[in-house]
Amino acid sequence: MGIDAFVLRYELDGHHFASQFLISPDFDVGTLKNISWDLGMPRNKLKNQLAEQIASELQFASYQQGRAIQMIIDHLIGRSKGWVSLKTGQIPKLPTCANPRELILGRGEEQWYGPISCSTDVEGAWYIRPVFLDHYEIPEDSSEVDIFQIRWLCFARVEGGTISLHWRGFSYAGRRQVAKRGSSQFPYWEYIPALFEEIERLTDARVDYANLHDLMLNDLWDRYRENLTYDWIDRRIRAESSGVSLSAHAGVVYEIEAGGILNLARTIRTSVQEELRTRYESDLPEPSRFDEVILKTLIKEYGTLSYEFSLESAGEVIFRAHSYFGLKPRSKSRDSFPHLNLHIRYCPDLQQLRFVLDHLRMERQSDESYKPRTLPLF
Amino acid sequence: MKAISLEHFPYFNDDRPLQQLNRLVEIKADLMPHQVAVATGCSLDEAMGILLLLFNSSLVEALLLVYHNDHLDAPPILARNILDGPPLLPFTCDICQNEIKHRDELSYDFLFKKASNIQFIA
Repeated sequence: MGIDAFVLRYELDGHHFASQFLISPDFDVGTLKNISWDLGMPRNKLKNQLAEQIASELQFASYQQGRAIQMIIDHLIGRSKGWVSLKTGQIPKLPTCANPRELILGRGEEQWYGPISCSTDVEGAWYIRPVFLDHYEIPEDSSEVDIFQIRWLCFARVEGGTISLHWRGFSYAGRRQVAKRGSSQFPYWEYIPALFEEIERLTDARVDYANLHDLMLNDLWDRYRENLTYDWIDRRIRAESSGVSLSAHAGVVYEIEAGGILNLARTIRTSVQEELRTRYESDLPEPSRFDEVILKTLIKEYGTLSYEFSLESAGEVIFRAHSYFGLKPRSKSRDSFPHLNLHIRYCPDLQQLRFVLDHLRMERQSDESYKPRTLPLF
Repeated sequence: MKAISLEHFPYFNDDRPLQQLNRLVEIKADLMPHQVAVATGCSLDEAMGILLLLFNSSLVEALLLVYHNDHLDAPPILARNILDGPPLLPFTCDICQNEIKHRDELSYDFLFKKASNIQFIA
């Protein structure tokens, strides 16, 4: 049906389940090719063929099966996810949870699996938590609604004093009525805070959400925005601003694309410039400087709820993400907790996460002496 | 001009966030907690604490903004005096015309309207 999530359509286990898992959107063709390469298998195949050949290694309990499972989990974790939320503080322990091989050979249970070491991320210890969601579909040849389950995976990464949760988003029909209309965004904001609580209990962590609005709009802004070595490009803001009157329309969430906000700033500046010229016969010095002042005011002082920008140097993207500041914790919306939607097409998520963590560490005064002991893969 | 001490808010011992806060209250007629947080970099709890301090000092009027969860990006459906609390149920949403029967269909935020000129000091 084309949704970007693993729909459990069949009652399968063992390598048959693994085959379906590998064909699902949790793995892209590139990832399957990399797994095949690591297992010494041909790579020039279609996705379903790649999935079948990898799954064939899982038929019998053997060294090959164990090695194949290890590769699958390694690449499952290593693949960029796109969405991340992070908390910092003190994390005294790394618990041993369930064996993640259960997630490869079967649907698993709603519990944490790990810790897992990832070959491309030696500093972090990973855990995986499946969540099962009802998904409604209307077959093409019927008006009846079928109910399946989606297995959505949330990944936790623990490093030093940081826990980050990583996930892939998707759209689905979580209710019968939605299936008749199409699909809607998976409401991850209803799950992530609770998953944080779980992993914090397991690790005895005392952590708080990273202050993303201070990081993005003060720390990174001051370091990079006017640094000529870097290109800081505003992409989008979502803001809610109080009105002047006491009316019920005091708050309106508006969203402005990159060109829109720059155009708005220039329009305001042009009006002021024109007034100075005609009324006071005076020229505004450095008009682009004033565009920046107005832009800064709009972004920083107009109640921004989320903000997207990209940071580049020498044509390479260092960071590009839409940062949700989590400044409406009581709302049932994406503004209820701080998190990032990373543009992984331009730069891998772990690389961008490290960029964020490096800058948070410069600000933070937490105990950095504890480093989690990573365990070898199952 | 009324001077308000922020001695119980250590984040504002630094000049920069203090200046940012004073600039914000100078140019804005009313404020929401997230606006204070974004403009100064403080936490939402600190922002709310400062605004409640102003309310307690009778320097601002406080409103409870009520949103319908079916369309959170739309304006609030109600703006009530904070002391009146949340609205009685059920009632009809002015935006979508659906009847709201349960508290979990609603979300809330706050708006503080300036009643005096304010200057914060560390």
